Amino acid sequence: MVRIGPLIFLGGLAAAMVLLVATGRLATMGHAAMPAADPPLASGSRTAAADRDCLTCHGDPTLSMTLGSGETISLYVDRDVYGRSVHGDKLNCNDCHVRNQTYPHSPLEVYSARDFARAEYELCKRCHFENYTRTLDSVHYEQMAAGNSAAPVCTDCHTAHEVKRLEESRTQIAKTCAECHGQIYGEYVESVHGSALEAEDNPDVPVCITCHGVHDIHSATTASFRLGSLDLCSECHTNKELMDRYGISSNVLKTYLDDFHGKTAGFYQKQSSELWVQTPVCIDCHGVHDIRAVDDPNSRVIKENLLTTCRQCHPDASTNFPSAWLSHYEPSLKKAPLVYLVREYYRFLIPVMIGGLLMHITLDLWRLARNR
Amino acid sequence: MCAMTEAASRKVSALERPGLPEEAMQDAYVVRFDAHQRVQHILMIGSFLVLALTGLPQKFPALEVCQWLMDAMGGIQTVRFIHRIAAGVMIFDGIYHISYVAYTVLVLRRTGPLRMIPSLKDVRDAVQMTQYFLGLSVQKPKFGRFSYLEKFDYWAVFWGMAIMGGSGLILLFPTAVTRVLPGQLVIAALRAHSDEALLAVTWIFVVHLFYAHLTPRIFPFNPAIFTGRIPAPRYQEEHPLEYEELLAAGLIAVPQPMAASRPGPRPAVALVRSEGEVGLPLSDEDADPPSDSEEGSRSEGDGSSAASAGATAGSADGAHSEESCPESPAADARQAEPRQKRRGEAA
Repeated sequence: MVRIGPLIFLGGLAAAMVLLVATGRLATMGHAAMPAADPPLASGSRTAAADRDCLTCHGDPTLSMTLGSGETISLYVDRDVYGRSVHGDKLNCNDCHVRNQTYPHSPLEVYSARDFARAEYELCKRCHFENYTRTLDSVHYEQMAAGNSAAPVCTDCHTAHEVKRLEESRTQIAKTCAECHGQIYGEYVESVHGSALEAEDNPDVPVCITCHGVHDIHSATTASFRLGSLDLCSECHTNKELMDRYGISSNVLKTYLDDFHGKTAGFYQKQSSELWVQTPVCIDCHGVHDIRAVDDPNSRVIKENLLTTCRQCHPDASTNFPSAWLSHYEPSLKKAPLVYLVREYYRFLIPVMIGGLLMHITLDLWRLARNR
Repeated sequence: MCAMTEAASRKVSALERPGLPEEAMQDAYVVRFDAHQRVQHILMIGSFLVLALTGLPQKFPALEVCQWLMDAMGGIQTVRFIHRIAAGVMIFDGIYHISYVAYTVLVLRRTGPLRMIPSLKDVRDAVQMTQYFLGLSVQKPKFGRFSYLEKFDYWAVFWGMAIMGGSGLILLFPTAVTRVLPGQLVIAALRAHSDEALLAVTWIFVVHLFYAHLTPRIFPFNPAIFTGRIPAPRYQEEHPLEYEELLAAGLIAVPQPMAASRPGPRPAVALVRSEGEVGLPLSDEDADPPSDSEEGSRSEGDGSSAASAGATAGSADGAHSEESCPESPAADARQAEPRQKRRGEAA
């Protein structure tokens, strides 16, 4: 056994190397879009024995090293934790740690742990090419390109050895983002959406990625994101089945678009999306991460707070002013009798006037024709 | 001034005759709209078309053609800006019209505009017209200055302008409005503005356009609102009661056929005004030599309009005519006699 171990290890290693080179070539040849589907490494199943040598040293919890920056990093790998990760039964240490295939390892040429992560994270793309490509369009990559070393790389969100399927735990998604975006998370957990997620792991409420996307997270401060937020909100809030579950109107988009603000926003949507919409969209009244239920006393849109909300844009608004907005209600005799009656008046008047006069014209022409 | 003498003589002749001689009817026309009314209507056409063009794409944003229009006009902000400018023009036009009517009635003490007020006769006319259409009556109703349909058209637009202007201003100044009035009014104003606009546009392009231009009696185009003139035969058919009034008042003058015998300038036209808005053209082709022409003046008309009308005619008639005309209106009346007789013979 003791003798066979290294042999198996070497065999596996050789196979991995061959495949690695092959895929590397594939990638450079431009067939990069396909590899995610079939993992290039080994046969896709991990051989515990292959890692045994690595764990001889790295199984020691005290193993650590000091980097040029003065940081001391642990070099310990918890075999069980790794075994439970999504890669636990698929990848051997050297499938990822290609630079350390030989022992003694070649000297590390990085200054800090952060530099190491940034230098090594592209290893993921050998299998996860699609998602890697998406990140290139993200606001995070933009930050990295601009020289921000804190900009997240794969392992920042997914970790290196404990990789879990994040989509299986929605609460974990929010917490992952919260590591950097703590303040926003704080607002979110207080909101109608976030509190439902925290309290009951509600499957219907949006988490960060529902609105912001996953790997290709775009900036949320652009004109097009602002305008697009209407669609983001209405994706759920026009879903009748979903809204009925919580006793919420699914008519909110229609009533918004029928009103002053919505009309204007509607025109912007049809024009170039790069124009900054001055007119309020959902988030301007309801809030962004801190959206409250409409019966929450802290809600910005309940009657008591509405005037303050209106005054954000209409500083001269008087107490009558908020009633110029029907709070997403359709006009009815009860809710807005004046509006309702005006609507009914024209529903009656237009056909009668035009119909009546068309009749007049028709009779007139008929008589003229008869008289000839 | 001398051209007026022709007019005067013919007016008198018209008084005595039930109608106008047929050959005179060919070129005769009635001036139905004065300069103010024509300007008002031109402002109205312009502002209305611009308002419709910039307003409809706002009402029907889902239509492809509306999106194209919106883009072509420079996007929603520009479209709204143009809309508000045009609205300013229309509101000005409305104020202009109301001031004009008020001035005519209250200061000039003319009752002409009051004839636009609906009366029982209009109801009877409408009923009779329907009967006529259906073959239940042989006679068409006889209209005066304004038919029931014209009154309806006028008041529909009048009411429409009040609604559109009022609701538009509410929408433009919502914070100011809600300082005194309930907020619901603003939403109602949006509703009314949008629906009334649809009604107005349909109305203008269906009803008004048909009765002003497209009806087979007129088709394809009726220049009356630009020239102010309507041919006398059509006037007699469309507004028989007013036409009779004009005849009775001696206000219809007969234009004369081109006199081949007499070379000279084109006929002069004189407007004879009746209560400020009805005028009759006088075309004077075969005017007599200045020596035996007479001074003419309307018996009940105001002096200034007659004088100015006469001046127009006179200048066209030739410079020499002025001095040869007697100054006193009394003299005209006397001298009108022989000419009147001559016309009678001719007819």
